[in-house]
Amino acid sequence: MSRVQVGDKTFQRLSLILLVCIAALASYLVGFALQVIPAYVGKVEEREIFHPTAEEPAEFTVYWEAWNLVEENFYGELPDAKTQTYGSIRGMLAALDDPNTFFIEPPDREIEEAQFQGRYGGIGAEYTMRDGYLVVVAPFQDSPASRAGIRPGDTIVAVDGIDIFGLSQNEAILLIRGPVGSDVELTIRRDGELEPLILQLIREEIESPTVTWELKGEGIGYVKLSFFGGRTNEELRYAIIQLQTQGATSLVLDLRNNPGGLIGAAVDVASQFIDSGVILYQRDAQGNDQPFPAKKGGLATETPLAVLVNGGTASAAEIVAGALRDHQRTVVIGEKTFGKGSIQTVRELSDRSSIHVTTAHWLTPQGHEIEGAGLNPDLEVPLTQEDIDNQRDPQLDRALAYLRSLLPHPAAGGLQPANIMSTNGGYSGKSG
Amino acid sequence: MARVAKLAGFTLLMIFIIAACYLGGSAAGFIVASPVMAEKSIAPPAALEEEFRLFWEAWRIVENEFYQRPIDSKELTYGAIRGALSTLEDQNTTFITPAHVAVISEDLTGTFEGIGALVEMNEDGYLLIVEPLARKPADLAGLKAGDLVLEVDGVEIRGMNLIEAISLIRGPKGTTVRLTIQRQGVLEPFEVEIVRERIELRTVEYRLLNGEIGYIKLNEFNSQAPRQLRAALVDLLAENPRGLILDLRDDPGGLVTAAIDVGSEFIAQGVIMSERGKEIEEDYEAQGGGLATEIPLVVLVNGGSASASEIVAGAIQDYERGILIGERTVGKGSVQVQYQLSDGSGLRITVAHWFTPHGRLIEGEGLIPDVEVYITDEDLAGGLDPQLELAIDYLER
Repeated sequence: MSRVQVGDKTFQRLSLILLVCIAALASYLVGFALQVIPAYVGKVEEREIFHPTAEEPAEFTVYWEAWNLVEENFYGELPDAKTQTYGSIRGMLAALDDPNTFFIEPPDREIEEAQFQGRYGGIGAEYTMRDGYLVVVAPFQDSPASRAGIRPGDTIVAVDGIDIFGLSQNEAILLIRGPVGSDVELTIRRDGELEPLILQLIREEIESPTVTWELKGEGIGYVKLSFFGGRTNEELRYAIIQLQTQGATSLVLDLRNNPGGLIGAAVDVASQFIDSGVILYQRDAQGNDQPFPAKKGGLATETPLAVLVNGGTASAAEIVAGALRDHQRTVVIGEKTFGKGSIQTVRELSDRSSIHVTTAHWLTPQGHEIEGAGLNPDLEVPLTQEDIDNQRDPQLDRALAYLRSLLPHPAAGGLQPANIMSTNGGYSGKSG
Repeated sequence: MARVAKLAGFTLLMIFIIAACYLGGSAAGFIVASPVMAEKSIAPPAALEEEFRLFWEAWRIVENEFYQRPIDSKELTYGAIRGALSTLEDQNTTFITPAHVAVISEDLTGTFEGIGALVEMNEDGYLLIVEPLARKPADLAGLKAGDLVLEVDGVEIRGMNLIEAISLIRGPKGTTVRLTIQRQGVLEPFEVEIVRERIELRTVEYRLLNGEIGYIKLNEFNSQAPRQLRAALVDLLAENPRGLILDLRDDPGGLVTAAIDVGSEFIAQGVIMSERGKEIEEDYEAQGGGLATEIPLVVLVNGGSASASEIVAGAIQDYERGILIGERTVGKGSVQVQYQLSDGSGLRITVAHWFTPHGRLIEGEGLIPDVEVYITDEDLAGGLDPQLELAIDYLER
């Protein structure tokens, strides 16, 4: 895998700015589901400490009035200072009435960072929380977890002798994670075993890929991006090189159900297909538009392209689809996209908690605002429940038919329905 | 069962008659509005100052970077107060914006101007119409039990507490309120315009059942309740009934003084309720001279019996003065004091809890009836009342 050489500094700077997925939650869920996804966001800007007594706004007086009354009179237990502070921050952010602006406690922040980074030190398993304990959904292939014989359904009750009952899922997972090469001891309960098992594992670098690819017939390469993390662009470049080596002369870029991620990753990904010009404009609170130009060195700037989108295509994924379309680099196929055109910056606070704050909106190169609007595909192709039940993918079929129609072919008749029906590409899901 | 479980949980379920508008803590009937001396020098407690720097980091980030402008420091402050209060994990300790303070002081007068419907907050944060009162504006406008109120005059309800939501619906009689309603079986939310009226509730209803059992239904503990109850008792006792049924089902409570007065009609002497708080330790004694301190007694309760209702039922149960039939009660036994902050906003704080004469905590616990009987959907549909029937059987035996 070759590292990205270009614009590393710029990347670091851009990567501070995160595009967060669909209603924040979606990406969070993706993150948690893929748990084991790692991520490197780059360092977060240190904020200078603000001294409250000096600069507290006059309006804030009522807060202390209220809290003093509570301390004097409330009959019940008072929260500790941290709980109260976190609660106050949450309440303040809630008053902004923006679902994408929210507070994240330190453990959740670490998990999130790992997700953006795309790698972390761990044992390689996916978990869910049940009755206060972590239950293994599945160990990853060829991971420390699978080599140690951990099975789906195993319940992790303690990590390094610490009972995890009472911890949040993320707190428990962070106990399991740690530096690559270090030891971790898991106490596991397994159905059918009377005694708990105690396993010693050595943490390894666990990567969670965000790019899968596959060569379809007739020189068409298929690439699916599930998220825009810190390693997505490298993974994409590797995929394109592999596909080109195998003879791909056109590409399907599948951005369906991609909730977004880092804006820097979106610029890098779009730059693989666009050699110059603007990828997006970022509009700040003052109304200033800052252009983000394409980077040089794209691997597929001439390759015929079809992009797949749907209602789950959001944020960074909409940036890429919008840029490729405005540059007339692609045909966009599928369903209307989500319409998340706001940009969040992750700001770390001094105790490693952080807030996601909406700092900007973005516009496509031709100046279209996406927030609340979404992108309409050039070719609208719905995916019905019946299609899903029968494992059909008419959107991909349409993309393959389109790319085939561009090939020098005696019978190529453009996008006639008959052509499309006759293609039987089949959709084999992830591979790579 | 499900209903009982729901109530037993610490879900805030208060049935509010928009009329009497028993506020979150009104059950306590102990609400005092006392303006706070707003000292300019008011400052964070020292223990908090260090930790609170985080808050100011977050505040400054929002101020400098948040996309939507302008940023209203007052709204942020109110949000911070709400957030801080939420960490107390007490749904009755609430912040009230200046705009809503006025509406809330209408409480407990026994009348109000509104649409006439029983409402509660559902789990998704919408206002649920529990029951439109017969022939009142809500009923006449076609609202039905189970309807969800999404918006009031275009303002979204979600995110508000019950007090705030109700305060939007209430207003001077003759004015119109526009509700956006979601109804099961109707695809799109629709709007209903309702002209507010003065709603007066009949506090006490009574009649003689089977010629030998006195039945008294108490709908709320307002200032009229003790006097009306006494009149009802005089009437009924003149018929020499075998026993009395005191129906406190769906009675959300009201004034604590009314609870003591009502309890004193049935309990000759002793403590009716004890109040315990940081600075408060008070026993409320029966006043003596009760009209019905000996006659066989059944109290009907259910998951809508709250607060003052629970004081009365709890005392009767502890002294074995009568038996409780029905379903577990709400468990609303805390006392709130309402303070006014320097900018006109209000703060309602839980300052004490109530205990029954034998020291049982009401808040969060509720009362378990001596005989549990549930009303099923079929009973409702068939107009049956197995709780009342059992009470009659018990007294006739």
